[in-house]
Amino acid sequence: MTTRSDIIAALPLDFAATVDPVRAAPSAARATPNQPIARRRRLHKKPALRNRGRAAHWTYDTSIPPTRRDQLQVRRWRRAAPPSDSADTSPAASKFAKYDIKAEVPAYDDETYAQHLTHPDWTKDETDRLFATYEDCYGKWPVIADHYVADSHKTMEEMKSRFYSISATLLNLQTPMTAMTASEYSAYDVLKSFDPLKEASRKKLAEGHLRRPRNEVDEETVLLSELQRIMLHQNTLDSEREDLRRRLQHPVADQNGYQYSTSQALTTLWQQLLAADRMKKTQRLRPLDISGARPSQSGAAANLPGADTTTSATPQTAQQSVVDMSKQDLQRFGVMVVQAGQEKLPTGISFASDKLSKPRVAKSSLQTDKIAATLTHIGVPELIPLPTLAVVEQFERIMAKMQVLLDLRKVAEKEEQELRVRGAEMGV
Amino acid sequence: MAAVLPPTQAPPKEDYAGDEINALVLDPGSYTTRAGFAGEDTPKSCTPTHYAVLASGERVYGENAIHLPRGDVEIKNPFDSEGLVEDWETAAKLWEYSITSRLTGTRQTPPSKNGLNNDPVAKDGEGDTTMADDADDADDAEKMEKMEDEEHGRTWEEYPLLMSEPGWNPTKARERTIELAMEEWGVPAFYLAKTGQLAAYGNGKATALVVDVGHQNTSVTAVIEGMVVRKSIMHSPVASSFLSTQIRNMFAANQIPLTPHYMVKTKQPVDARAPSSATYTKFATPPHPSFRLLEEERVLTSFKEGVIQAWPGPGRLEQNLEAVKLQPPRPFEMPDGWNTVFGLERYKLAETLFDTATAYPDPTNSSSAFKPTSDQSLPSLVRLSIEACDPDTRPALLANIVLTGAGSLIEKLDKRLETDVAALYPNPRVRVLAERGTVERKYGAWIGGSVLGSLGTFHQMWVSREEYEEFGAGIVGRRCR
Repeated sequence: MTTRSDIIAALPLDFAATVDPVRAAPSAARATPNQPIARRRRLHKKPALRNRGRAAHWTYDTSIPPTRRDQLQVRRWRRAAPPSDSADTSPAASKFAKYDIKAEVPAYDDETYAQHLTHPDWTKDETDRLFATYEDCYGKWPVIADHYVADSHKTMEEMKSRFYSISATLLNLQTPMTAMTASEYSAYDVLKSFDPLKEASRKKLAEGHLRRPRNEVDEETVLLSELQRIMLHQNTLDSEREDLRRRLQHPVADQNGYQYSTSQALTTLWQQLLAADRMKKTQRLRPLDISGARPSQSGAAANLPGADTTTSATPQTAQQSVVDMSKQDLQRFGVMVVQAGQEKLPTGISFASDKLSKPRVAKSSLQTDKIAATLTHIGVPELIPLPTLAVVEQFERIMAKMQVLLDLRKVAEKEEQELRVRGAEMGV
Repeated sequence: MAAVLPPTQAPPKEDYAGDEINALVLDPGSYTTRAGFAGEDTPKSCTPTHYAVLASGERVYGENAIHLPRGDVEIKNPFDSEGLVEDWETAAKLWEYSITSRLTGTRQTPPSKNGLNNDPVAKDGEGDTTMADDADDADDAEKMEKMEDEEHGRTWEEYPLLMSEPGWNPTKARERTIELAMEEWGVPAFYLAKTGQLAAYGNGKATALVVDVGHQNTSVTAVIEGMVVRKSIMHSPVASSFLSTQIRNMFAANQIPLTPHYMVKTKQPVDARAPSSATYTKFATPPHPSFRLLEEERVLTSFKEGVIQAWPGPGRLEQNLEAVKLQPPRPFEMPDGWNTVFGLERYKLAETLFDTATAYPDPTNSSSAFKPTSDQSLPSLVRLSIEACDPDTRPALLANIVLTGAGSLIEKLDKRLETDVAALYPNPRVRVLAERGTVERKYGAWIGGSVLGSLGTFHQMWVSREEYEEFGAGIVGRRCR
């Protein structure tokens, strides 16, 4: 694209001041049609050839790999670090030092060997050689068994058992068994539990397994495929059964019913159902009517047969709100129906005979004697055999009167005393 | 001290690039010698191990030397039939040649011959110079040769050397090798690895059963987690050389003439099984019989590449003769034009590797001819090697059988080996891994050496000059296991 300066340069100078750039462009085009008008525009400043970039500088120099113990010089081409990036200044070989893995070999000295590690089949020389071979072969047992050279021939299991037993003993010596951590102990356990005979027999089995003839292998593959087919079929059968059950809408209990077997659990269940019922609009459950039945259990004398013993109708366990008993039974059993809110009943179980004996006892023994004397004067026996409802009512009336009597007596005595005192005062 | 990486953690990606220190890798074999730099994917120098002995006694090495038909030249090989070095001086010179001929770059014209080092001789008045004496010439020549040797020596002193050896190499040979490298060549660091181990690394496996079908020997090596199990190394002479002998026997039995290329001057096309109409070159002094044998080997090699196929199974060849007859036969043309098709013989020849009883007998019926036993066939070697390994490791080895070596390039050999080994061991999974490319199989051991020599973690395993001087040649037995 032509720039304004190009046009001005192309046209005569006096024309430049008054020329209109828009109209000047086509005339310039007409003037020199063969010259390329478009000049390639560079998006960036390309430097001159001499200074263009900087070639990477490589040096061929020597270094000693850090994994070597001697002074072997190793020469390689290395790129000199470019000025901006200063990361790679370390020699390349040191990044491979982490691959110099050595096998972990337990070490022992002569006295330790003499004390703990001797074995009838192994001389010290052979043991040392075994450990050296282990280290050289990086702990790979098939290779160790192959590279181990000694006068007496040892199988791989023997070598392994010797190595593991020495390792276990040394581990034990380092940290006694009581002081070992869990992982150490498990390692020790594993080392100790190596059984060379079992290993040898297992190897024989493996060898035999390798040599199985073709027909056995085919048979096994056929059987395995059959088993797989059966297992798959089992899955489809189960899913079909499940499907069928779902269709029949069999209600499935999702909770175990065993938790409501004790009476306390049943009580809590009743409370829960009651509470839930109260929340609903129409109550289905009727709350329990607490019957104020006096427990009429015969304590001392059991004249009547044992069938007469009533269940103590505690408010919690009553099954019915209205007691469905005939009038005779009500009387006989001493069941008293109390409307809610009328009388406050004592909770819990109490003996009926207590009602006949407890009021007789007063705070002071003098008063108790007085009560006892009064009662005998009236004709109430000391031990009343059967505390029925009527008896108890009567006794209570008597006792009330007795109390009144006693109180009046007290007052009368006081008055008499007063009189006497006043009389004495007056007399003097 | 840098923290040690636990063995269960895989290395980060940047560490996979290795650390190239430009080590030399030399993989000497009985047919070719491979050499190159570690870190590359093929050996740059691949020279034949055969060498020519001129009438003067001088030995000439290299491909250009041995294939020229000259009357007075004998072709020899420093290796014996076991694949071990027999002639150490020649072998040393041959290995030097393999490295210095290709890997060091073009040599300058030696100073003794470039005309710049003639002693400045006084000119007399007319500008004529007198010719130097013969004695002076000889002195100068010696000095120049010394300078050349020094230049050469610098090549060896710069780079560590990694060499490969067969698994059954005796200790003496191993010590001789390290002495050669350290004292004669002066390398700064050295390592000797077994070819089976290197072939496993070249195929990217740390646990493998390597079946290497070479020229003189087939070897089976078990490598467990990177280390060789010495007791499992088995080898037998049933290999490419044996196969060549079988082809010769088969030709003899079927009256097929075998003429090498150098004998043929011109040829005309003829019908199948028709006598050839070719003109043969006339030699004033016919070449040595060893030369003829070498050249016939080339024809047999092309026969092996083009015609021979292993019967992939199922079942043995004898049970499938009908199926074999249905396969189309392959034609082959001799250098002089004689041609025919081969149908059953194609499979029968490869069958000899698996079932040694079917080997073609020697036509001369000599008692010294090699008769392989059934223990020397390929599947038997695998079986013997497996039996010598720990039973726990056997399934892993059987699932990773690596087939390598130039002799394994016979068509469908890997499938046949897999079928045969699976028939021996029907229970575990048997897999034979064979690279598809010819280069990877021919140079499998060299490629493994290249991988090993370029690893950053291999630096600690080199046997350096210092250590050799301190401990002597016995160190190779301890360090290079």
